[in-house]
Amino acid sequence: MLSLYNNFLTPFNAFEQLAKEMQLLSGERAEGNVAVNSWINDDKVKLDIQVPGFSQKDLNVDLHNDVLTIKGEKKEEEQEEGSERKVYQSFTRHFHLPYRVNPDEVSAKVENGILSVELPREEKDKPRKIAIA
Amino acid sequence: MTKKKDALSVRETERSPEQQNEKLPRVPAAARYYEEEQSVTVQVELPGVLKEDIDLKVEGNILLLEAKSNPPSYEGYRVLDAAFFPCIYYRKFEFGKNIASEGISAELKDGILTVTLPKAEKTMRHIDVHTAA
Repeated sequence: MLSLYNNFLTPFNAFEQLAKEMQLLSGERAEGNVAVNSWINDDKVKLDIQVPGFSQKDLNVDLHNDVLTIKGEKKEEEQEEGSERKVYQSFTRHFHLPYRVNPDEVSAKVENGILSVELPREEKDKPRKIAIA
Repeated sequence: MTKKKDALSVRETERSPEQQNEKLPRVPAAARYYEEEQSVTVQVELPGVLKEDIDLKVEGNILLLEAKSNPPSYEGYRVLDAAFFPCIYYRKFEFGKNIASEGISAELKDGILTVTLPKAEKTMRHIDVHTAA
């Protein structure tokens, strides 16, 4: 069951692994790729996403049915005498959630470059113990 | 048998924090840098790292960075995907000789450490040319 959930959340696992290894080799983070730690139990999914340099205003968390989309977009422009610097960074990540969540109870916060999202499972979707008569 | 186990656990707690750090994997931190007229700026990605866990040293024209990252793990959950883990981020930068080490400043914001290294002022001196008497 665990591996099934794994596939649900990271459909491009092999590709990601390669990107991760390349990142370790070069010390650079590939554009458009973000590292995610995720946890699950019967009531909740938790995601911690590395988003260094992105603040609250640069991030967008969107839930549509069982697909969670996280977008980050950042533009930086600095102009000084004789020099100009432009930085543009963006990423998009989709997550297929293993169960239905209650959209009103989803919470997200960003702190020190880590975006944490909590997705509580919808009450009626939770497993129920059936009493045997 | 239990005695042996106890002896082992004692040895484990006797390790100083520095020794425990040695066991953590070392990961090269992603960085970018740019040069301006008056200074050189280095930006290093340290998502989730706290200010007090950053060790920044300058020795001559070498800037050394080590930072301990300890991402949270949650009890009562199963891990779905673990892309980042406790580690020591490190990076070494070597500059030309004209860096003024006294004026270096560092700021941590949104998981990005920005280090500004002012260039040493170029002192140009005119030399009077005398004619032989």
